Parts: sequence; structure tokens; C-alpha cells
Amino acid sequence: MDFVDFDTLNLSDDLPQPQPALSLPIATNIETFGRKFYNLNSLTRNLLKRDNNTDTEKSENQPQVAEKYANLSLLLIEDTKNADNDHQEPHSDIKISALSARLSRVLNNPLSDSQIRQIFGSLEDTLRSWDSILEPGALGSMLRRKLRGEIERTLIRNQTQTLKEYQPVIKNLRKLEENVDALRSASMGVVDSVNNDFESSEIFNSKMENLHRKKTAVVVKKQLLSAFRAKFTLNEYEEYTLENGDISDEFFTVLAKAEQVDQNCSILLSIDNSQLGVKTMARVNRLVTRASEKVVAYANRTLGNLYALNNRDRVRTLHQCFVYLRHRPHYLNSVLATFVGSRSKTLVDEFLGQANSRVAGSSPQSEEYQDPVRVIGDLLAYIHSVVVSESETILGIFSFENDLVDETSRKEFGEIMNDCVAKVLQSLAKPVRAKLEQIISREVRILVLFSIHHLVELYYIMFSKQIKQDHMGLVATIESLVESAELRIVTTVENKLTTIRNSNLAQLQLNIDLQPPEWIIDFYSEILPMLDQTHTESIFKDNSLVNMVVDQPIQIYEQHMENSQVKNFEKRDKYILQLNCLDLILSKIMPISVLTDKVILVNEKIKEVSDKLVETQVSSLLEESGLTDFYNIANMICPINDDFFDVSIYEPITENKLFTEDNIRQVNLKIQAFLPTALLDIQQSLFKINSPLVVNEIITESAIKYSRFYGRFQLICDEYLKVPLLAWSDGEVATLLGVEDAYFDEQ
Amino acid sequence: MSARDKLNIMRKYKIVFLGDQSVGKTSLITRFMYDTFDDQYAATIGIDFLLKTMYLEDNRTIRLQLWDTAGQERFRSLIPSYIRDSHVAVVCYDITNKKSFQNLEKWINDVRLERGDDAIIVLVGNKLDLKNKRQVTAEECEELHKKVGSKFYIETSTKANHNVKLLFKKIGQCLPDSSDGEGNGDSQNAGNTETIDITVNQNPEGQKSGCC
Repeated sequence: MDFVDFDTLNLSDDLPQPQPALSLPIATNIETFGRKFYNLNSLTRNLLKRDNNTDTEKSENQPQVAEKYANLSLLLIEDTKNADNDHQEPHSDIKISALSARLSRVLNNPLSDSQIRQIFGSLEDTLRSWDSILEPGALGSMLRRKLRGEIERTLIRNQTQTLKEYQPVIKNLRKLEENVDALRSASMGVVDSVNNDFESSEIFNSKMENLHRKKTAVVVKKQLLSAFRAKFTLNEYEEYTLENGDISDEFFTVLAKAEQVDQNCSILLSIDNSQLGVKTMARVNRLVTRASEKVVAYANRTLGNLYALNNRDRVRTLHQCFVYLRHRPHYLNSVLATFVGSRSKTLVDEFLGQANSRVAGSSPQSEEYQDPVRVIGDLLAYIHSVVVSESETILGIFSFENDLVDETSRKEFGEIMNDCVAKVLQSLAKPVRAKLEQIISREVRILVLFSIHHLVELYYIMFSKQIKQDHMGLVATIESLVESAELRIVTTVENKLTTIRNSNLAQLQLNIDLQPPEWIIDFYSEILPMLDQTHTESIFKDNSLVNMVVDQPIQIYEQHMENSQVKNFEKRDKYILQLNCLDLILSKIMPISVLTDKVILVNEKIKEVSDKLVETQVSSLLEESGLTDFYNIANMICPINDDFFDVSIYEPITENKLFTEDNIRQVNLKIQAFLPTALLDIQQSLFKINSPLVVNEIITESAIKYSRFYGRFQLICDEYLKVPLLAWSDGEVATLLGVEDAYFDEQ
Repeated sequence: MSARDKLNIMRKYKIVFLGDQSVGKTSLITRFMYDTFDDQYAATIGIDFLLKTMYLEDNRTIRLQLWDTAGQERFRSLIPSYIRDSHVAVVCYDITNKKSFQNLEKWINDVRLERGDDAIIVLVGNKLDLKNKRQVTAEECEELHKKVGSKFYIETSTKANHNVKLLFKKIGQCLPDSSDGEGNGDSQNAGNTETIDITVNQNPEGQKSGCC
């Protein structure tokens, strides 16, 4: 602490106002020190700030301001002194500067007004006698010293008191200093250790960073490997499942994964080293191939033992196999081919067993021979049953559960199923055709053949309904059997007719009794039951059989007539024989609906022959009555049987030398002699005609024709000979011939 | 094969429906299969085939192959071949048609000729809904049933859906536990089978059946 020199104080009475007191924040600091102490960070910051020069600059600036005030105070004192006391010796600059320096220090102290007042109050108490103090002598010096001593004491006391106030603070500060020092040292230690740690941690960090980098690399590598493993490899269990595991849901899951791996491997082929991809692919491919073969084997095994299909789980697994194999057509085709082959073989064996279980053979005792219709019926019923069972079995095999396949796949498998059914049933086609054709070809009985045809035709209808897809299989075979039976019927009939045609015995059956030959009766008795049973016209679709059944017998007897003794018969007898044959044929075919057209044809033929016979009869009547020449002459002029008749047309007849009165009279005589018995003669000549209707028709028609000519000729004679030469009228002639009613009706 | 698998095995039985034309054989089958009835008559051509899976009360599942024969004379020749390997012959007549009842014996003889006593014969009098036109009494049928030794007889109405389920239920109960169909390697349809409810609606009115 600096003290104001008394001497210097004297120099300035008029001191300038000191700088306002600076309040020390000690008390406040002491009160809040403890609080502040807690905030070590603030303290640390303050401590750190100590390093700055801000405080120094402040302390340096303050003395300058104080010095300024001090200098101003001294100058004021000096001016005052100069003005009041001229006698006083001028002070040296050295003293002034020393005093100003001291004053400045005093004034610079941050004292409050009360303190300064107190200080100056105590000074006034001390300076009770300025004069003695100001004495230049020893006393004055002593008093000044004494004053000085008192001031110093006072000051010391005051300072001591003041300092005492600070003592606990100092104590605390000392303590705090210790603590702070400890803290500082600790801090230093911490800083050191932090520094050390920092260094070590820097090393550690670099190590860590390296390790982290390594770890990241390892993780990436691990992830890569994991991804690789997941994408490109199968684990041991999965491989075991594929190689040795049972076919199950798990198996297919693993297989799907293996296939995915195989698919994924293609990307590995594009990398620089494609070996990895190639190897992985080869490995997975091998597994997939083996698994596929296992699936194929399972499917084959299951399909080979259809009894196993009773197990729903097994069926489901089989369906899974199908779903898997669908994308591998070669495997699926192989499975289906094996299945179709196996089923085909089984069915063919069973069919042959069934066929052979009947009494086989060609001996007359065999059932085949005795009742071929029944044998064929049984075999076809068996085939029908097989078709149904097989369709049902295969439908069961391909009936997928909803969760396994979508609609498209279901449709696709539906087609596969139909194809399988068709192929399996197709296998039966050949043995069935062979066996049935054998039976058909051996049969010669037309009725039996017809029954076979009918039977096979019914089965054709049923099979067509049952089998949707045939591909030239069973349905086509049955259809061909229908054709075979038809052909066989036609051939048999044809053979029969050929035999008759070439038979001498048949020719001999045509004799003078003019009755139709026996063979016609036999032939129709064999054919007609067949025709009678015919409900469809399929068998007659090409008319060959119809033609054969009707036309050929007619041709045969006509041929026989030409070749046999009949050729020497009279024309009338030939016509009668013809009529009898045609009449028999007509009577046979008339009830048969399918032969309606032929009935008309035969009727026409009968009409044709009847007309010929009528002509013969008319000629005979004319001959017997001597009218033939006139009939010919009249017809030469104009056909006399035409509906239109006019006597005048026949005028040229007068030019004929035969047309004389005498000749006509003779004719009249002949007529009168002949006509009364003519009817009997006619009936006698036609009595061999079997059909009374035909006989009646012929007699009537010929008599009418004759009567008509007679009547017209009579008119001609009356007109041109002017004499009624013919005694009977045409009506009378018709009456004599027994056709008066018909004649008058016609007229 | 495990016991479970054995339970899963579906026996297959062939049932042939015989009888004169228009007695209602096809209607009977159609009612059983699809629970429908068509008033329009359409003659069966040849032999029709239908398939049905039936669950019996004793937990057995059986598969019935129903062979519907044509009653027309011209198809008669086909029928014996189908009787040959059938397990059951359902011989039908029309209760309003005495002739069809009289012909039953002929049908039964056909069955006996082909199968001897091996086939189960069931007599079915159909068209029970036309009671007012009845020409065949239940007593007459019972008499015939006793005479020919059929398994049972029953009167049904396919139009009124009466006793049809009962008929098939009774047939199912009469069927033996084993079938020839198994032995020859025939397979059974294990998947996607049609199923039917054979619960019989008890209709006391007009129910007339007997079982020996």
C-alpha cells in the first residue's frame, strides 16, 4: 500500500474532484464466491482469461487518468498558493511530480465518499494545529513526524481492520487456492492424462478405424457370402433333401430354390472369372437333374400303382410332381408316355384275357361260333366299362386341388388328361378291331351279321358320347367295325346272290308251272328279317344293299330265263313267269319301309310286264276274232287306241282291198263263234299268274282295249261300207268279255 | 398300407338299372345324382353311365357306377352284357303300369341268368306321386319280392323326390365290403369327387318299403 506523502499534500489545497470511487465487488464476490466456486468451468474460463492482457491494460490506463487528475490538482494548488502566498518558494518539478504520482495513487484508490470523508475527518482530528505542524523547526518536524506516525497508525489500524475483514476471505481464498491448486494440478493431471489419453486414443482410434474398416469389409464380405450362399448355394440339409429326402412339400420348396439358384447362376457367367458360375451351375444342375429324375420316378411309381392313388396325400404329391414337371415337357412327356404305355399294356392284356376267357376258336362248339353277337356284345360292354373306368381314373389323377394350379394350368392339364385318355383307349383300338373283325369275318349268317352291325352301331353312338377326343382311336375303330359289318353284310348278300346266279339248280327251278323260283323265297326269308329290323338307313346309305336286295334277284331270274328252258316258252308264259317273280318280290319288300322306292320300281316293272301281257292278250283276241289285219290297217292310218277318235280320219281304209263287205261278214261270223267262250280261254291262259289283281287287271284292260277297237271298227265299217256288218255292239262284246262295267265307266 | 389308407380306399360297385321303357330309370338316377326332375321324356339310347361317390353312415366311402339301360326293345340285346359284372340290379316298374310290373320277372330272370344269386336284386316301384292311377299295389310287389328273393323292395317318386335317397342308402348298406373291381387293378378316383348327402328326409306319408 502506498501512503500519501504529507509534503506533497501541502502543495495542493485546491484539489480537483477525484475520479468516482470504484466499488470493489469484494463483498459481493465473497458472498457469491461459494456459488461461483461450484461452477468450475466458469472459474476455469476465468483462469484461462487471466492469460489475456485486458486487466493489465486497465491497470495501465487507470494510472494515466489518475495521474491526469493529480496533475490538475497540483497545478490548482500551486496556482492558489501563488495567488495567496507569494512568498512561498517555488516548488521544484521533481516534488510536484512525486506528489502527483503519490496523489494519483491515493486518488486512484477506489474509495467511497464516506470513506474519504472518514479519512479526511480523522485527518482533521489529527491536524488540530496546522501551525505547529507547519513549523519548520524541529518541533514541526517532530509534529509532522508524529502526525505522520498517527496517520500511519490510523492507517495501519484502519488497514488492519480492513484487512481483518479480508482475513477470513483470504483464509478461504487460501483454502480455495489450495483447492484450486489441487484442482489445477488435478486439472493439469487430467489434461496431461487427457493429452496422454488423446494420444493413446488417437492410436487406438486409428487402430479402431482400421479395425472398423476391416470389420466393414468383413461384414460386406459376409453379406456377400451370405447373399451368395442364399442365392447360389444350397445348404447340406437342402442337398440331402434333394438327393435322399422324400418327395414332399419341403422337397419341392428346396427344388424350387435349387432351380432359382440355377437361374441366378447365369449372372455369374458374366463375371470375369466365369468358373465360379460354371461350377456352381454344374453342381446345382446335377442336383436339379437328380431331383427331377426322382420326381419322375415318384410319378412313374405312383402312376404305376393306381391303388396308391387312394391316399389323398400321395395324390397331392403326385399333383405337385405334375405341376413341377409341367415346365419340363420332356420329363412330363416321359412320365405320361410311361403311364400311357403301362395303362395301355394293362388294358390290352386285360382285354385279351377277357376275350380269350370266352370259349374261343372256330369250332362249331365255340361260343364265338354259336353266339357271336353275344360275344361281341360282351366284349364291347367290357370295353365300355373300361372306357368309363379309365376316364374316371385319369380324371382322378388330373383333378387338381384349387391351391395347386391356376385356371390356365387346369385347362392345360385338362387337355393333357383328355389326350391321355384318348391315347390309353387308342391302345385298345387294334386288339378290339382285330378280335371283332375276326368274329365278323367268320360269320356268314346275314341276320347274325346284321345283329352285329346293329350292336356295333349302338356302341358307336355310346362311345362317341363317352369319348370326347378320339384321335382315330376306339371310336374310329368302332366306326370302322360298323363299316366292316356293313361290308360283310353286303359281301355276304353278294356272295349269296352270286351263288344263286351261278346255280344250275336255281335255273332249273324255272319251269313250266311258271312259279317263281324257290331261291327268291329263301333269299328273302333270310334277308327280310334283317331289313325288317332296320331302324336306320345307315346300312343302305349308298343304296348298294337296296339295289342288291331288289335289283339283283330280278336280274338273276331274268338271266336264268334267258339261259334256261324258259327261253323256249311262249311269250305269254314268259310274261307270266316274270309277273309271278315280280309279284313275289313285291310282296316281300312291300312291308319294308327302307325299300319304299324299290316297291315303286317293282310296281312299275310289273306294270310294264302287265302291259306287255295285255298287248299279248289283245293280239290274241284280235287273232282269234280275225281282226288283226284291220287293227293293223287302222293303226297305220291313225293309232286307234287314242282318246281322240273321228271316223272320217279312217277314210283311207276304203282303199285297202281287205276292207270289203265279205271279209267283214266273215269276221263277224268268227267273232260270234269265238267271243262267247273267249272269257274262259283268257282266264285259262292267265290262271298261272299268282296275283289275282294282276290277272283281273290284264283281263279287264285287254278286254276293254279289244271292245274299244271293236266299237270303233264297227263305226268305221258302218260309215264306209254303209251296211251294219258286225252284229254285236261294243257293249255287248264287253259284256261277253265280262268287262261291261269297266268299259262303260271308261266310256 | 396303413389303417388310415385302408379307410381311404373307395370301393367301386356297379349298379345296373333295368325295367321297361318309361318306368323312370333315368329319372331315378337323375334325381339321385343332381336332385332334379325333368318332365320331358327322352328315351335312353343304349346304355348311359354315371358315377357317384357316396359316404355311408359307417364311415365307408363307396363309389357307385350307375349303368342306366334303355328300356326299348331294340336295345335289349345290349343289357345282358352289362348285367354280367354288376353288383346290384335295380329292377324298376311303374306303379301305374301293370305291364311293367308283369315284366319284372323277365328282367329278374335275365339277372339270374347272368349272375345267378351273386347280384343283389332290388325292386323299385316308381311314380308313387301318381297314386290315384295305381295299378300295382304294394302288396303285389311284396309278394313278388318274396317270390323272387330280392333284397328289398321300395316305392319311390322321382318327381316328388320321395324315397330316392332311402333307396340308395339301403343299396349302400346292402353292398358287401369288398368289390371285384379292386382285384383287376382298377383305380379309384381319389380326387375331386362329387359328394352327396344321403341323409334321408323322413317322410312318413306314403313310405312303403320292405327288406328281407
